[in-house]
Amino acid sequence: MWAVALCGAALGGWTTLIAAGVPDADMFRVTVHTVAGALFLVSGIVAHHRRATNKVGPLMMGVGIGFFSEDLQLSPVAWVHTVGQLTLAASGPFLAHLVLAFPTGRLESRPQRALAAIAYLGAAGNGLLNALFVDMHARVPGNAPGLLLVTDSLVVEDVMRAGARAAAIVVSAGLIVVLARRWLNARALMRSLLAPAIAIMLGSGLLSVVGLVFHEDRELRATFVYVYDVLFAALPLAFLAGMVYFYLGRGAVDRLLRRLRDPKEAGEIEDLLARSLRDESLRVAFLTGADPAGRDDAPERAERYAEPGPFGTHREPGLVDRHGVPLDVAPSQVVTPIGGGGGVGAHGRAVLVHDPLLCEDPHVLETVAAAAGLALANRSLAAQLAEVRASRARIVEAADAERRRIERDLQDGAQQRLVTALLKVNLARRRLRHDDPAVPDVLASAAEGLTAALAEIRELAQGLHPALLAEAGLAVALEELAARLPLPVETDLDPLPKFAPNVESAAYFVVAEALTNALKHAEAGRVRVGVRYADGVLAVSVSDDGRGGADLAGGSGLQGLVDRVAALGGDLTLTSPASGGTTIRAVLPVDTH
Amino acid sequence: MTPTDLPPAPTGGGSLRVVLADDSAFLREAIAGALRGEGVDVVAEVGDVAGLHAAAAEHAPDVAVIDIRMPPDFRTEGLRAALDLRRERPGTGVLMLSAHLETRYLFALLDGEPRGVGYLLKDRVAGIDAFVEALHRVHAGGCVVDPEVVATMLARRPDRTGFLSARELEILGLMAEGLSNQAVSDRLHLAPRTVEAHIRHVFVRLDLPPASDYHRRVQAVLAYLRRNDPPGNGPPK
Repeated sequence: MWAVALCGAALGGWTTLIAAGVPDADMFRVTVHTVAGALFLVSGIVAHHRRATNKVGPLMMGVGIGFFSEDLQLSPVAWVHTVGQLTLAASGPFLAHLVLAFPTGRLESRPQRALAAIAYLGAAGNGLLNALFVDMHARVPGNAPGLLLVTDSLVVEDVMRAGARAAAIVVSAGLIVVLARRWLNARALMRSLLAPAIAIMLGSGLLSVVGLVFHEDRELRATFVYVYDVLFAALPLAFLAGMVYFYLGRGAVDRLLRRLRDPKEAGEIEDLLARSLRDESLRVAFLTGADPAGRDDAPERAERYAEPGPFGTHREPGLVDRHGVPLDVAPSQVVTPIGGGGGVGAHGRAVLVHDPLLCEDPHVLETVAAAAGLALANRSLAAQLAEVRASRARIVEAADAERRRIERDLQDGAQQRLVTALLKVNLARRRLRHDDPAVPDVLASAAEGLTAALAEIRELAQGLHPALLAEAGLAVALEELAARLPLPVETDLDPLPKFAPNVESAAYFVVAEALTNALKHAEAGRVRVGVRYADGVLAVSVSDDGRGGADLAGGSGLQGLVDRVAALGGDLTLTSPASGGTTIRAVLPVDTH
Repeated sequence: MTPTDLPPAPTGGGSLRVVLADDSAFLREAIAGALRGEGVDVVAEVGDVAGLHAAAAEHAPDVAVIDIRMPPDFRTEGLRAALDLRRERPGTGVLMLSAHLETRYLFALLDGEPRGVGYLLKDRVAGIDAFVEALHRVHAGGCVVDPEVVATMLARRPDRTGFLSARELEILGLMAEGLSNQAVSDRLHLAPRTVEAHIRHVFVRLDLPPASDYHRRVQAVLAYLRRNDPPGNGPPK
């Protein structure tokens, strides 16, 4: 493409010399023409450099080269003049094609392709007829003779000019229709890309109309022509501005990716992407229960958009915004799954809802979506990590509290009793020397103390870990636990295999704590213990008919169980309406190996 | 572990008047019964700090026996109450009982003038004779430290600086257990003179005037322990 640009530049230099060499040349116009052509060339190469896959750059260069070659007919050299005759209106079709294809670089529909074809064929036919039947050498002194001239025919020339005018009118009208529709259907992003070029073209059009009105006034007309030329020279810059605005440079993409490297909330990602990708309609959304593969299937999507929403938007079933609220999506918006292996957020699989125009830059869109997925995943992992850390701290804290309780129970209970019993035994020994008749009573009292100490130690040990659980398994231990409760307890237990000790302990202590709560706090009259085991999941539940209104934060015992169950990958839920009744339910995944 | 070979406890005129403060009612009653059997006048049995202060004000006891751990928090309420009591009624002897031994409690208790204080494992109350003797010793202004505390602390803090030799440490530990010079020399199979020389050296090293009474010997042990107690392990605020 650089070679084409260099040839174009050489051509531009040459034709400038040719145009400047014409007697009475208007040097201002020559300069403006050269600048205009050069700007198309430069803008084209810059646009091509920004996105080589987009045809807008080559088309702009085409306009520049065509524009330069039109001036070749001013050359006094015969063959150069002839080439100039053939390319009489070469810039026109390229410009029409450019306007039709901007900003995607593609002709999107059959009418658009037809318009471009008309423009190219018209220009080619015009040039050929011009070379065959118009002899500028005969009419204007100093012009070179055309090498392809058959005969100088004013009739053919009239037909040719009428045909050229008709083609110009058809193409112009078509362009106006296409642009108007494009503008009306466009979302904000497309409009901001189109705006500069359309403004210049509207200005030029207005100038032409005004020029027609004041065509009598020569001086005014000359001024209009100058202004027109300057506007034309500005046109490539308008196209280039759109290209540069839309297609992010490598630096901008790098900056965006760097900023996406840190963990981010969906909202932060949304703001950042909307700003960086210039699409303020962009939303981070979540597909709840959607196709986890995240396939992008347009017809399916169109069907999913069937449910109407407010203000001409549609509500895609299962699509919610980052607050979990069903999202209203404009029909023209498209959905891109957020990748990066971690796009699953709290509400489901994360997607970007955005302007379809962003799909024009698929590489950037995919990269950014992947990076956004990583940022989201980072964030979600950070949140999970924080929860795991908090849970771990609570587990350690609970273990410490438990050790303190055991120490207290031992020292304030059993130890005191043992000291007392020892004291009484020593006392009995002393009295024995004096044949004190109270000795049997003292010894009996010591024995009583020892019995009490044993009972306390047994109770403490049972509380630490029920021996029955290890010896006879979960079901038996739960039956025993229920039987010891001074409340009618209904048990409904599935036949259970032997589970890992940590699973059995967790299930046992959930039931034990729930029963304790039912007894102590809920003032329950009846309790029901249910244990289900199916598909590698063990579910235990304890329901009572007591007061209700319990919460997990209230009792540290329950919080400890939540952590214990979570540490096994399970889940503990508490249902305790203020109207009464409490159900504690723990679901534990069971490794069956 | 019963302190043996102690110098005879001083016996004052009239019976010893004691207040018992322990939150365990059955243990309290058992101690009171045993002490009464030994002619000790247990003037009050209380279960908490407030009761202790009230009983001290009412009965002006010779010695208060106080469990370190008492309601409401079961931490060191008893220790704080003992320190308050010693400040308010300097003549009152204080014998602390603890379910486990902590050097920091000991130093808190002995800070200032370590007279008329004691710190014993709770188990010691079962050894009736020694316990009664400890009460009398505290009442007489002496200092009773549970031998196990000393043994534990000496064992826990080997003298890496060479401040005292291994032999001297060994003798210091036996002194703290209440052994006389003769008993020490018997135990270690050393000549009494050798033992005396070691003890003199220990006292010189600790900047203490040489003495042979039990109280001063305990002082020596405490001085050594205090010296070796790492900073930050001081008495609780």
